[in-house]
Amino acid sequence: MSVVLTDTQEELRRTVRRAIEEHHGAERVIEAAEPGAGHDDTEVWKALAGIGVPQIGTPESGTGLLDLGLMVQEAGRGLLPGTLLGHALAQRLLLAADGAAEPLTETEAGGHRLAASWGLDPAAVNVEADGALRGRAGAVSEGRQADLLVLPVTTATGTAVACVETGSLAFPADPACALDTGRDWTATDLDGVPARMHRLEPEALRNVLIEAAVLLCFDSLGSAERCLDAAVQYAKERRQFGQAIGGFQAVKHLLVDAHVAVGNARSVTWHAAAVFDSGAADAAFSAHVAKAVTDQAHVRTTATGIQVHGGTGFTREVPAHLHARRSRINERLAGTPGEHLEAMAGHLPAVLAEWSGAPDDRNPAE
Amino acid sequence: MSGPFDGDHARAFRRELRQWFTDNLPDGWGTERFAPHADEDAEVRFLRSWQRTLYDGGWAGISWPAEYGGRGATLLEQAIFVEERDRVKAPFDIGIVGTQMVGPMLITFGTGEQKERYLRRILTGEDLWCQGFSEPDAGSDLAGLRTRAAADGDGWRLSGQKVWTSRAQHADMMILLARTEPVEDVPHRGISAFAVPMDGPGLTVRPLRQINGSAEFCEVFLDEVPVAADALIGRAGEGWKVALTTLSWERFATTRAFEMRRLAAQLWTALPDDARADTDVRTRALGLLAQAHAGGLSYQRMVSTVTAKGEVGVDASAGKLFTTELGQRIVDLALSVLPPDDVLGEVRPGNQGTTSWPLEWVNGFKNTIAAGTSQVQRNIIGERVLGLPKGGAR
Repeated sequence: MSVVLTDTQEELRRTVRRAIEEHHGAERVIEAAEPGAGHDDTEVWKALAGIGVPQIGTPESGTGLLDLGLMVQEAGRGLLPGTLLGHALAQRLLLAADGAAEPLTETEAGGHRLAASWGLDPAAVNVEADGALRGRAGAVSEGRQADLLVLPVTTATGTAVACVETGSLAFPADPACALDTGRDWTATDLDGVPARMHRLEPEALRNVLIEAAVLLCFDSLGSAERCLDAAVQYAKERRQFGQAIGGFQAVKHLLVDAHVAVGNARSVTWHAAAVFDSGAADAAFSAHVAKAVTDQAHVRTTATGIQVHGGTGFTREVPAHLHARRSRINERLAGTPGEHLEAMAGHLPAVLAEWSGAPDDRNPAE
Repeated sequence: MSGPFDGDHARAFRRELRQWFTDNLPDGWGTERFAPHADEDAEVRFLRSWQRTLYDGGWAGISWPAEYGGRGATLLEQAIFVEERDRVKAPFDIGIVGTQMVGPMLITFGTGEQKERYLRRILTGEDLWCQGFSEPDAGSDLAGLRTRAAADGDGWRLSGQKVWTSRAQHADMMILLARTEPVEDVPHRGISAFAVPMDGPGLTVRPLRQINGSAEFCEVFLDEVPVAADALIGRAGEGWKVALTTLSWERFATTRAFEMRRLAAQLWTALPDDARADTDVRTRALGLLAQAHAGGLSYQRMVSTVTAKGEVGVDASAGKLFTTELGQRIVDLALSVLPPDDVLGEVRPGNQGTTSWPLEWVNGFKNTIAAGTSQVQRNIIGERVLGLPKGGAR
């Protein structure tokens, strides 16, 4: 599906981009990534909530995964420390579970924040006979800021979405994925904590895993775009040998290859979200392709971002390394590229006939 | 929501076209027993007649106005045509210079009389055009061309040499760039574009044998070739605009997204079980399938943009660059891992309806050179899309 954004979508993107620039701009990004600085994003969250971003993606708002994804893309662009990423996944989990729309509405009405575990493994947390949770919630985004942690868990009879008041949780001071200093990934042991549970059918869980992969693609896409923009800008300004370095083909061609990779990432990511929203049968296939292609583009583009900045790129003065760090974490969450390629293989019999009509299937009588 | 390629209209168009291919591809197409071209002349006759079949079916000039014989649809339908054509590996477009480059250029730059004279004959296959742009000393640096057009009474006389002029020996017409004014400060100025009949006095063609076995490339020698005043396309001295427009359409037409997607699919299908079980081969093949799908989606997104704008510009360069390089990676893997019988045969232009990996391998070299090399595409994208400066030291 070739996605062309509507004027409304474009306008909202611009509004959100401006809000992020204003409340969590480039300086703040670098400052927040310093050791011990914390990742307080209260200001930018308030600004996003003021625009109505948390409601995007719900059926009531008439929007879907693509619209929500476009917001996550802006958060990725702005290198936010996880803002929206926990919320977005939590929203999808709650929408997928039976009777969980109510906590979602309550949360929105009360201005509460949601966090989610990107571990996405129900087997990591079990529900005990008394209804308490035991296990470990990994890769939690927005955990320290949120009021409610949402995660898939295993019950005696299947899977469920659990909602845990974060007041009952202890998040350690150290981040869980220390490689990505621009992010506040946390993890916490759930040691008999109480939770509200909503049944999650196996098919609904499969759908959420697809949505999670696509949402993460949007985050990577935004990050890759911004990293490339900055590298292009730098190549226009930085002069050596009497000219801007972007005039040298060795530099120019590096940037062009990244540009092409980012363009492909945009195509597959937007496509995957639009296909999911349309309910078409190839939603899973499209998501697998999207994650594999986008992760690769993100890793490659951010490496280019550092290289083109030269020595400056190896300092904390510019955020190129934060994009690169993010790319290595994102590729490990919601399924690695290898896992998604393997999952994609399972769908090939149906797809390949559509890609190659020759020679056998046209003359079956022969 | 629904993208432009997924609307009811697009779906109906695709269904109708797919059925048409099923009904109209020559008997035996896609099987070994179909071999229409014992020699190149026979092949050209077959491909001209295929163009006529397309025209009669309403599938030629899909995005051209109906008054010139086109279907009156948009580039969106044209893109669906390309996808369906490459899906079944239908006969290739021997008149591509006319149908995909000169025709759209003439619709923009031609006079009413020129459009009337040339356009329909392109679609029917009566006129094959070739492209007289490159010269021995003007390849990637096209503005360095030296062929001269001297005013002669009402008309012009053309002298010089062209090279890499594909299918000149079979062509009826040539779109030719020549210098009508000497080079001054800006080499792009003073170039003019002409529509040149190939049977004129003083015009000779020498085919060059290519590494894929066919004699597609030609040298064209022009020795005081007379052309009439109305052979001039656009204004004298302003041929560079004509050239750029023609080249933009060329990149659009040589984006091989669905050809490469088909090849990736065929590679996967042809992989023996032991190769498919090899982790490295498997990962590479699956990665290529994913990238091929991305190439197809990017092509569609580009077409959506271009359709809205109504002109191609630099939009097509990324797809041309990406898909031709991807094709080389697909065939590289095929040559390394498919059974010897599939890949170590003779390189010869063979049955078009079937895939010959040796031929695909050799043609892969052509694809990243023709229509602007990959390096030139990177310069175009770097300078005109990313806004990077032109380099002094190249």
